[in-house]
Amino acid sequence: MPESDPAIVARAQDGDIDAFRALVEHHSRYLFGVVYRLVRNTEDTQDIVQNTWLKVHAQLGRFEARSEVRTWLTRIAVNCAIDYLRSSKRREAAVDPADLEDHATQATAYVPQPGAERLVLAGEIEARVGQTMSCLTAIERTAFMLRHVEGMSISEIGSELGLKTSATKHCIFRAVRKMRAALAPFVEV
Amino acid sequence: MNARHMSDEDLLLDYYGEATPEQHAEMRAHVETCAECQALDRELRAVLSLVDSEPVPDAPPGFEREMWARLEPVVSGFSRTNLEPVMSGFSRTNEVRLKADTTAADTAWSFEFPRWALAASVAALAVGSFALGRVWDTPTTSPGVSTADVRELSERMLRSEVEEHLERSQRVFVELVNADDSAPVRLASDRERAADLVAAGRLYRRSAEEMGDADTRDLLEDVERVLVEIANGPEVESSNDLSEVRAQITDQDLIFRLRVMTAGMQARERRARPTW
Repeated sequence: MPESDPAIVARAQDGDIDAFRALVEHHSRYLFGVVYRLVRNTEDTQDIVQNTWLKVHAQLGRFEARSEVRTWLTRIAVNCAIDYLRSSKRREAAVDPADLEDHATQATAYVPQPGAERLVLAGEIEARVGQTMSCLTAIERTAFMLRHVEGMSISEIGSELGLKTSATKHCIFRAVRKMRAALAPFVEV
Repeated sequence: MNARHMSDEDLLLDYYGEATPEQHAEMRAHVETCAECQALDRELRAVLSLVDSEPVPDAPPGFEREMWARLEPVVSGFSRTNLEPVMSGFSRTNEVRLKADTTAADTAWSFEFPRWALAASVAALAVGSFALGRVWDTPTTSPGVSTADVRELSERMLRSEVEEHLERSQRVFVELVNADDSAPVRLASDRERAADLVAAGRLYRRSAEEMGDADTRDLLEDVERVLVEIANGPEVESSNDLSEVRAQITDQDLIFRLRVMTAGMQARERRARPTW
């Protein structure tokens, strides 16, 4: 039976370097996905995952056995990504959402398509989602992804981001509003 | 029927389970009977499901192993005997070799210690001591050694490694610019060197950023872009392919900028050296 994550962390806390290696090997791929959704750049994601592990190593002593290891790792990774986004000059280099809305209005309305055409449309939708995500401000994207993908509550997100609950809600609302504007042509109601 | 229409914000909070049970019951009751709110609710859910359809790229193959290779020199604190050459060196020859011990499924193996792993160690040390200096900017009680001394030493080690990194990048660029392209050029070894430099350069760039050195950071960023092109390019390049990379090097004056930067670093190092 494979060793549980808390047991591996306990060994790592005792200075077992192989236990820490096991954590890195079990969770790095997952953390890559978490961080990529926030920073949307493969190279930066790799660096941030590396920083995450350095922080995890430094904070091993703070892990409490009753917590979920993956949740703890996710929080540290998210914080590293947030630090990166805050410090990065690129964080507000987003395209004006109005441009995106202009493009959105030019897109063809969604109608069910057969075969290849449908695949092309699926590709267009994925591209548009990616483009819109990149156009959100860092704080909007982070708040939205933490709520939508990571399933964190708004109050948890607020405390991670240092925002009041109302401000956190508004970040998520703004993000969804922009997504709606950009994806409206693809939505059949 | 509740006459108040739902806002998209109400519906979103309900979708995410953030509404209270009473609010949820009230909203669902209203949506069931109100065509307008039903349409808004459907649209919102459709948009959110499209967001879910976005694929997230998987980490590169061997990502976990590479991550561990990056981390091991740092987290093991250079304590393992098989890393002693790194301790004694910060060698400028890049000939340090690592023999990993046999753990888990690994059998004995060895490889040339990659540049970026050394970069990770030096960068972590320098940035760590920089942060230490910011937090505790007072002399320690240890006789003769202050936090500032540690910081200065770490920063000098980092500068020395960055200087070496810039020189190596410069050599790659000079060789490429001067390569005889009357026949297809073999770039296998350049690609390997470039890949190693890319990984190390990223760490140095981040360190430069952390330490507020914008000039070094910007140059490393420009250098990295070209190195990435080389590292990801074909092993054998035609003169056309090569001319694109050459154009990137010359258009940005990269060789000149690298020379200026390394000359400046050398001058600073000479000034900082004790005069005894």
